[in-house]
Formats: sequence, C-alpha cells, structure tokens
Amino acid sequence: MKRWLALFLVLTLCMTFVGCSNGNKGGSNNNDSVSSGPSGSTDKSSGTASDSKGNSNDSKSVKPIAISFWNGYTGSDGEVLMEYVEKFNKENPYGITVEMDINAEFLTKIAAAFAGGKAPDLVLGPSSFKDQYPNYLIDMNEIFTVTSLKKENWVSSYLDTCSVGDILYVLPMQITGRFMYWNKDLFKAAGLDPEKGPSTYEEWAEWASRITDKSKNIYGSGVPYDSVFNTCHLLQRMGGLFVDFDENNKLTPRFKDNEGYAYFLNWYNGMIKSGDNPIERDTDSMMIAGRIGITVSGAYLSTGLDSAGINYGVAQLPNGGAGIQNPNSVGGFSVTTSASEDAKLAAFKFLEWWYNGDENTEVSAILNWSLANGFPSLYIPAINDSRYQSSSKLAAMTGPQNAVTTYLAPKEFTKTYELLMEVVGPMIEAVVSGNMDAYKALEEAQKKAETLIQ
Amino acid sequence: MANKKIPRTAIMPYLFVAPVLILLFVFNILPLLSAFIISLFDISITLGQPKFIGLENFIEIIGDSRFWNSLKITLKWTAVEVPLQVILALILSAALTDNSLFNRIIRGIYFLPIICSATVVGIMWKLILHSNIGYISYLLRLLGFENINLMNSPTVTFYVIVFMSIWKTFGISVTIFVSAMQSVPKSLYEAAELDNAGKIRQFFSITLPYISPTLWFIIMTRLISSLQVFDIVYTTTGGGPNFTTETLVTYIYTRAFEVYRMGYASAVSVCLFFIILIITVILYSRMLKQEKEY
Repeated sequence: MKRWLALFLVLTLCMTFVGCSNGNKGGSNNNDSVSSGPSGSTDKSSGTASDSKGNSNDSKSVKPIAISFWNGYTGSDGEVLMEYVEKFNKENPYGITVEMDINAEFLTKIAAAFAGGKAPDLVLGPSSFKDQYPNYLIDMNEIFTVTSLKKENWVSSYLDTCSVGDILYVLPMQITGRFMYWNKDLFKAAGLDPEKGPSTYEEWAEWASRITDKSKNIYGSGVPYDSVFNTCHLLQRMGGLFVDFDENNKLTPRFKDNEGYAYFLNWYNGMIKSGDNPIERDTDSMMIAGRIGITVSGAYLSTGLDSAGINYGVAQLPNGGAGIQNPNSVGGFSVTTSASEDAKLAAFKFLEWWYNGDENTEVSAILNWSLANGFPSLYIPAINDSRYQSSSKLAAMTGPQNAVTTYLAPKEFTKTYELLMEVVGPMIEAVVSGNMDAYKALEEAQKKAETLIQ
Repeated sequence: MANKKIPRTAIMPYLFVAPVLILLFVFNILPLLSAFIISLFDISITLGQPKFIGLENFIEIIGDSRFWNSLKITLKWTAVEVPLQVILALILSAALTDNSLFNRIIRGIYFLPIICSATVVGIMWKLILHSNIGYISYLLRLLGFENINLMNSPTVTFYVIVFMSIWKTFGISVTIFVSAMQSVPKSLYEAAELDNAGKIRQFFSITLPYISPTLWFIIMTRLISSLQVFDIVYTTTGGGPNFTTETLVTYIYTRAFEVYRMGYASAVSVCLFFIILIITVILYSRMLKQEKEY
C-alpha cells in the first residue's frame, strides 16, 4: 500500500512539472489566454472576420478583449503611463483591457519573447526596433485607415525615422532628446547671469571652473561618465554624424581625425582632470541635490528638479563645430505580429484614445505626457494646444530644430545601438580612464566602427 | 531459465529521483547542448536566420582582445575573492563555533546579505559609495581622503566590487564551516590540550584536517561561482570603467543582448564551460589525493 502511495505521489509530482509549462496552446478566447500570464494573447487563429478598416467609429468591430502591453518606463514617467492606462481601462466603451507590464529589463525580455514566439500584443520601445525586429512588428500605417488618427498630425521627420521604406514600424510617441540644465542659484553665487546658460562649450568649461567649489562638494559641470546616451548628443553637435555617406555614396565612419570629436574628448577630459566635472554616472542625482552647475540630461530630469525645488534653467544644448544638429531619438508604439486580429484592433483603439482622447478626456494622454514629464511632443495637435504653448519649460525644449531629426547616422545605418555601446562609449572611457590620446582613441573607434558597417 | 523480474524496490529509487533528473535535463543539460550547437552558427538574439559557420566563432575569440581582457579579469577576480572569502569565513567560523546566543545572533546577521537580491545589493552599495552623495564617501572626506571615487576608478573599483561580492556571499561559507567545525569530536581538542597544544595549533592540526572535505567543497563551489560572477558587476559598474571590471559572463551578456550575436555569445560561454571544467577537475583530483593522504 505504501509503495503504491509513494508511486502515486511521485507521478503527481512529475505531472505538476509538466502542468507548470505554459498551457496556453491557443484557442480563440483571448480573455482566457491573457489572464494566464504576461505573454498575453498570442492566438493568431481568431476566426473573426476583419471588416473594421473603413469604419473607425464602429465599436461593433472591436470586441471586448484584454491585450498585453510591455514597456520599460520604470521611472516617474511610468507612473503617468500607468495612470492613463488605468483610465482607459475604466472608461473605454469597448470592454478593452490593457494589461501593462513595465520592466527595467524590457529590451532583454522583448528579445527573448520574440525569439520564443511569446511576444506581447503592443510594445512601447525605441525606433531602432524597426531595424532589430522588422519581422515581428506590423505596418502601423494600417492604424490611419482603421481609426480617426491622421498621419499628417505627426512631425513628418519622426515618421521617417520610424519607417523602413514605406513601412511604418513604430508609431512615434516620444522625442528622447537631451537638454542643458543649469542651477540658477549656483550661477548667481558664481557671479554669472542666472537666466542664461552657456552658449558655447568654451563658455561651459569656463563657467564650470568658476562654479566649482570643492569645500562645498559642488561641481561646475556634470556631464555624466559612462553614459553614452547623453554624451552622444554632445559629440554629434561638435563633430557631426558618427557615420555618413562618403563621396562614393558609401556609409563610412567619421571618427578618424574628426576635430569635433577630438574637441569633445579633450574638453570633457580637461574638465574631469581639473576637478570641475565628477567621474560619476549618476549626475542627475547630484543635480537634484544641488551639487552641479551645468549638466546634460533628458526631459525627465525636470520632474526631479521640480520635486526637489531646485531653481533651474533649461535650454537646448549649444551648437558646436558641426553646426545645427538635432540628434533626437524616438520612442513609440508598435503592434507585434503575435497579436491576433482582435487584439490588433483593440490596440489601435487604445492608441487612438491615447492621441485623441475622447469626450471624457480633459487632457489627452499624448499632451499630458509632455505636460507632466516634460518631454517635447512630436504630435502637432499637442504642440499647438494652449497648455503646451504656455509651459515655459516645454517652450525651452521645443526648438525649431525639433522638426528634423538625424540620430547619430543616416537611417540606412541600422546599428546605432551597437555603435554607441561598442565604439563611442569605449572611446570616451579609453581617454578618460585609460589616459589614451584623443586622436589615437578616434583611430581605434574608426576601426571598430568599420567592422560594424561590414 | 527463471524469468528475471526487476523487483519493485529496485525501481522505486529511480522514480523518486526522476523529477529532479527531468528538471536537470530540461534546465541544465538541454540548454548546455543548445549552447554548444548555437555556438557553431551566426545567429541573432531572436534565433532567426541561422547560418552555420562551424568554428569561426571560436577562431574569432582567439583574436578578440576584449575576451582575453575579460578572462584576465575573471581569473583575477577568482584569485582575489576565493582565498579572501575562505580565509575570512574560516576565521569567523572558528570564533563563532560555540552555540551561545551571541554567536547565533552574529551568524544570523552574517547570513542576511545572502537572502538579499544581488540587484538590491548592487544598487544599495552604488548609492552608499557614490563619490558625491554617498555616505561612505562623506566619511572618507571627513577623514581627509579627498577625491576618492570608489566606483569609477580603473585601479580601485575592481577591489570594491570584489568586496561587495564577498560581503554578500561569505555568510553561507560561515554557516557551512560552523556546522562542520561543530562536528569535530571534543575529545580531540581535549587530547591536544593535554599535550599543551595552543588554540592555533589545534586549529591547524585538528580542525582543518577534520573539516577538509567541507573546506574543499567551499573552495570548489566558491571558485565555480566566482568564475561565473555577473549580477554584482552588472548592477554596479556594468564592466567599467574602461573594462576593468568586465568579467567573462558580463562580456557574454553584452555579446548576446547588446550586439545581438547569440552564436558568438554561446561560443564564449562554451569556452567558459571548459575553463571551469578543467579547473574543477584539477581541484577535485587534488582533493581526492589529499583525502587519501589523510
């Protein structure tokens, strides 16, 4: 009897391990499949005929459904996202539930999800997804035929950034730029005009030396170390695109003997060696603590500075030797090929609401994204809204050059992420931490970048 | 000839270990075999469009200076962390062997970092050691140490991260050593005292030999663990500054998830597998030889 009981228990244990594997083997009931986990509805076999293309206001074509939505907005901007997703879930008349999963490892997780065929229905990610995952994302142009959204309401250069040929892989939502912030109180204490940030990088370095106060642990400059997503904005302004077409119309890296890049490396290294700029990755915290005079950071820093009560100024970064540059990257929404037809339509409805709102929405999500987070907008109705226009912070961040963006290289070069991680970041570190000569570092960067193009 | 039937008692043990074996096979053996196979391909993170390239990934590794740097850092890490941790754990265990209330509380405190997530530990230490707003940096400045940057120095940061790793994990070594030391017969110490042997002599002549299987176990497990260190490095420095803390597994991670070369990353992990295997076999032979001598 004991043996039979033991055998039964062992077999039960084995069965539980088998049962623990994902039991979502399809079925057309997407509500069930979504509730089983974050992989969401992956059923492509829905038998629902799609007839919603010409009828953006026909709620009958959109069924009650739960869709999965992944992103990596773990900061205070994520809270705004959560607030609006909850609002949509509560108020939409279609019975759509957006199940959002915010994860700091989103970029790693989504790669594994695509590889495993368990991708979510909707993602909010960088425009580089168009190069990394073109086989896993649908053409978002479809949304303009299914909903009331109009393509001309977007700043067109950002649509180009998110497209490959005529296929729009990412519906732009956010401009990810970098701005210059300065601490007005520290400026005043150093005898500088608190209403004006430096207009050149020479001024930046000179003013930084006047602001630095070792006795109070204050640094005049706060260009973050090992933060290539910030420093690339300075580099491009000083030296131009990292990769560009040569006279033979061939993509070529532009590191070797680039005077602008050499200027940045010597300028940055000089401020570090003189003690005017800390070797610190997290200069945002230092700025929020009032320990930095001038820094470069994203729009998100403004929220932290407002909360900390810092008296600060914000402006576009000064132009450098490369003339007018606007290296803004773009974040946006993409519907994945894992989404069923019903899930796709539901996602479109959510996005329509995100951009246009409805009769219950006082401030549309896209507008509030800018007002609350400080991100400049690329959606023209939001930019033209009186609340946007009256925000001095947004006015400072939304310059005329926001109309055009070229981020690091022409869009034909698809390895911008690898360029930053493998070439630009190590180049800066070699000079700052490795004491390498700037021109030698540029030569080595040139060789590495050439392997990326090959 | 009698029909030989396998008795039920012979089958039952296998049924009991079957679940573990299944798990081991699915989560250890299969991924290991997959890594070997994937290392022969040029394949992206999404495992799409694989291209068989044979040993090309391994040939590329030979000329990859960043691989050799990460291997050097990993071996350096092991050479520093393992002896320090073992010695520290031995000394503390010897002091905390008695089961007094005080000792039990201290052992519990030392064990606490083990149950903390490595991510949390990394973030916590990053904040504490921040060059400007960190508490430790503040204390160092009070002591007159200006311009100390513990987390961004090419020379010092490596040792700081090793310290964090030791701080997080040595508690388990202490716990295991304490239970091993508590199993040493008291009569041996009494006999040694009668022979006028001091505490230190007793430790080296009685305690260490008696607990040598445990000692070898700790050394081997800590060695294997340190050769695979990733979490504490990733959450603190990410391999910087200037690759001075980039270990092999951190490098493998960048190949797979930053440049999306899953084939190459698998090839490097296969190399790491063989490195760990060789070192473990050498150590294990040494351990067996020593046990025979005793």
